[in-house]
Amino acid sequence: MGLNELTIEELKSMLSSHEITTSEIIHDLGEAIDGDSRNERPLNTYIDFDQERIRGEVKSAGYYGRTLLKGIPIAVKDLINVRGTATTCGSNILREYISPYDATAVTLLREHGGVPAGKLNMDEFAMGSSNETSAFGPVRNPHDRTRIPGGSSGGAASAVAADLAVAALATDTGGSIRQPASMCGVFGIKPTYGRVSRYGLVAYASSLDQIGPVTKTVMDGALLLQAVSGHDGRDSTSAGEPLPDFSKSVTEGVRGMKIGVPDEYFGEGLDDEVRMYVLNAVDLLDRAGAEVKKINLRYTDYAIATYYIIATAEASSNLARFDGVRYGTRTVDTNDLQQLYRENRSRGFGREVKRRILLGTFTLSSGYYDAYYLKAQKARTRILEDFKTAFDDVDTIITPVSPIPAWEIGKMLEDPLQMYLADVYTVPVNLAGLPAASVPCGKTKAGLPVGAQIIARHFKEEDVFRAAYVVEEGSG
Amino acid sequence: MRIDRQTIKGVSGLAQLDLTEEEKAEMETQLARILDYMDVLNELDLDAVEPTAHILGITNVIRKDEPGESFPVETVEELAPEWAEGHVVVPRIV
Repeated sequence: MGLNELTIEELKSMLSSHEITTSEIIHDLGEAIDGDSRNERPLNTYIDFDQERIRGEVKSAGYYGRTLLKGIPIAVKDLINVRGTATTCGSNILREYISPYDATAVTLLREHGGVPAGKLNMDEFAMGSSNETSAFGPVRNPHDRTRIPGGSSGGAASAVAADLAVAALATDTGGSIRQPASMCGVFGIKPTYGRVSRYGLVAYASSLDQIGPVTKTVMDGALLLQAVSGHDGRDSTSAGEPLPDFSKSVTEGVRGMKIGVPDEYFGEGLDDEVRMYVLNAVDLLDRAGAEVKKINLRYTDYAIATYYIIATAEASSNLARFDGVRYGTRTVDTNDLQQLYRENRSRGFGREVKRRILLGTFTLSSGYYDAYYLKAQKARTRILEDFKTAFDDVDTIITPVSPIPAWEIGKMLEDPLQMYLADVYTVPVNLAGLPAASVPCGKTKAGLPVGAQIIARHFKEEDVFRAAYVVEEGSG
Repeated sequence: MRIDRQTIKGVSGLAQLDLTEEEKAEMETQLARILDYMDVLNELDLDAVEPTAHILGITNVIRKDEPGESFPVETVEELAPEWAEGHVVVPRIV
């Protein structure tokens, strides 16, 4: 068995007793990644995995004394800056950009003994639910290589599921950690907005983006989240909340926990097998001593419209900085500055990114602001209040993550609205800034993983871990 | 909301994007469909509702005005696609 197949928890204990070294883990990961690249249908999870460079970092840093992660390699989604590596965001416009600095989450990762190890493929600028929009080619699902891994952190989820990474740092703006985690059968948590600094994360939608872990187990998720959380003066939206010991909460159980099951998340459009496995997870929690209650989240039907107005508006503004002037790829030689901007952007961005920039530019434009953007911000208030009211009665909420399991590559590519609608269960959580995870709860007859989503109150990630662990244990 | 070719031209100009004829046609159809879907929000009575821009309600986060570490000029030079005499080069604008 290769070291790449082990969890953070297992490797940590082997590194502590000096049974193994970080170099050996990196070696085994490299072998596995090479092996996969020779497959007829490679998973294509990494944009960059440079063994020599990663080893060099380990030598210069002296990771062994650091307790939390002890020198464990952690792969990083390619929109989080890691000093000295390319940060492409899966886009041609940043193909030549080399990060001159570490994101705060990466600085904290290193401080706790994590070794940034490779940059993971993703939907271009995190815009996509299938990992088909990357300029570096689509990522495949290890459970069925003809299918998508989910997105936008498809590289992260696929790599962790296929043991091509021990664990990964990814991001979630509308479900980009939870949905691929669900489709690839791994654990992924989007923490509360503000829990992890966004400094050094290339922004897609700033009021929604959060960094979080994708891991093989719930315990690994707790360990990795512990390492990267905390207040950061360089992110003005970073919260100064106290940081609990997440790993302690994992095994605390759910006795007495009140768990809400919202009607609106189990209605039309939900696949029968997905429904069965998520309700099975509800049953597990019930038998473990939780008190299960039916609840209502009345504004659920308005979440997709609200989300895609707000996210694309913020994206159109955030992506205005990519023009090929100060960094990135400059493809033209012209005497006209406007033309320089336009040609760089038109050649550099892919189709989905252009679509979202146009949508956001439109809804923010004069005459349409009130009808779309302002209205969406008001609807966001309603969605947030919806959750607040629900959390007066319950401690956590359990729902499906995706209405359907992983679909075939190419199936929804020509129909963006249909793909947006598949985000129905994940986007409300981002609009409300709540912490939520996807934990595996079964596999369909076709062998495709299904995840259950567990949502908790702001800064109560501990409740997410408690419930997720019960589901993980019970689902085998 | 009706989107026509003129709207697409206007919006792509604001967004500094040149679209091919094929892209324009595709965006026209798709954006119209997506915006039609957004009309679902018209079912809500939102007149008296305050908009939410930030979920935690943090306002006016300020730090002490102290100089911090910045990138050395050499780093910025390495990143720039075109560079001369300590500056990023762009086409003449005046």
